[in-house]
Amino acid sequence: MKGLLDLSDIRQKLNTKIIGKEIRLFEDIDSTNREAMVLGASGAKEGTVVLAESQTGGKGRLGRTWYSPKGENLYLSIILRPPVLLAEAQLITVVAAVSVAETIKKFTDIRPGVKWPNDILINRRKVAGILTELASGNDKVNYLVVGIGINLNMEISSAPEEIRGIAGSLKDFTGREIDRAGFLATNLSEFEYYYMIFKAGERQRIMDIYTGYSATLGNRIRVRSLEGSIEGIACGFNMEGGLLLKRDSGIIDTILAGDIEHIS
Amino acid sequence: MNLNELKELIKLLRDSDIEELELEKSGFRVRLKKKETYSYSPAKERDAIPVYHPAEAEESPVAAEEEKDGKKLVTITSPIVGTFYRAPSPDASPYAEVGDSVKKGQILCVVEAMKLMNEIESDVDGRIQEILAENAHPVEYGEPLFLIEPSIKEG
Repeated sequence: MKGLLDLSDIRQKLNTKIIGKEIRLFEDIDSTNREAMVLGASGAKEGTVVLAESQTGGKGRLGRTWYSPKGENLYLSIILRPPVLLAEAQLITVVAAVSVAETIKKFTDIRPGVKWPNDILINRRKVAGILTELASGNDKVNYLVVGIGINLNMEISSAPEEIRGIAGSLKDFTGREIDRAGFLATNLSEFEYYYMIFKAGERQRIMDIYTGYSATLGNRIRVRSLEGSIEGIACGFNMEGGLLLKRDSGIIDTILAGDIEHIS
Repeated sequence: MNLNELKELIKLLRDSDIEELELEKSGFRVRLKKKETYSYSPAKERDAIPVYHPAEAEESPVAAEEEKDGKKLVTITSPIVGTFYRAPSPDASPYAEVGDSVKKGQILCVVEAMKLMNEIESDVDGRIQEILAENAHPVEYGEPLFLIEPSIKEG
């Protein structure tokens, strides 16, 4: 049995001012995002982190679940109350992606790629996923919850078949066990760093780093929605994190939602 | 050009009959078009990237009142550009149906942009008269999503 997370160990390694000053650790939970949304609604402080050893229903997009075996990986949700307009809030998903990518680079010397908007990939395998939920009122953010799942030490051979071909863990690529508490502390500190830049309105700085990690940029991609699909080359991002897609006709579309697929 | 000048420009365009406006000024270029589809907004060329978003310059559209058959209806509109979802997952039942009674603060739908799931709440206690957007389709900033007939307050 591998060691479970120890709050005092995490606190010792943590050097943040806001993020993770309060951590709620659960051994088993349905979903850290669900718990964090409930805590957010009851007034939990900005920076509160919900952390779990395992999730029975880790939330993915559109009802998908995030595979969350016990004691192997990291599953966390961060409660935030940024004083921004709703139209500006989506950049937080880019902030989260950058924080995870930077942490992976620091811990493994592997430079991951980010598939738009925020899937973290190594050798085209997804090693981390981010899902953000937001509660709003009057065009302002009331609170939001950034959910992050990072595959650190799980054995891909024991993962469910449907993700075995597309997922990976950091251990797969480094061949060694990752210190989960240390990784968490670094990730929270990276997150805080970029979150402060976001709150200061310095979008360009965030987008520059994000662009450097992009695995989507320069690729031919297809965007699907119920209204049909469009194809083109990913040629850049706007300051809201939207993807600029150049079609063969030369027209550039700004993509903010929809499923994208790399086709080259 | 600063944000205030841009706001002025947007206001000017909105209050006029002009459909589209392009302005070039010392290396800076901005193109404004009425009712632009931002999720798929065509720009003419590489330089004309629609970075500026009218959403930041407009006033809160979240709830508006409308008269219908002598009844005051409240319109719930989308606060962001994104994809409209009536249920938390494809297999789940919708958050709300026509005819449902809803409470103020109750979640009516989700609008997603860049994996950010924005839960849209009702602004009033009332009954859902109409659902104006289609599930899993793109919606614009300010696009009407629900018409709600508010409950008559007692006393």
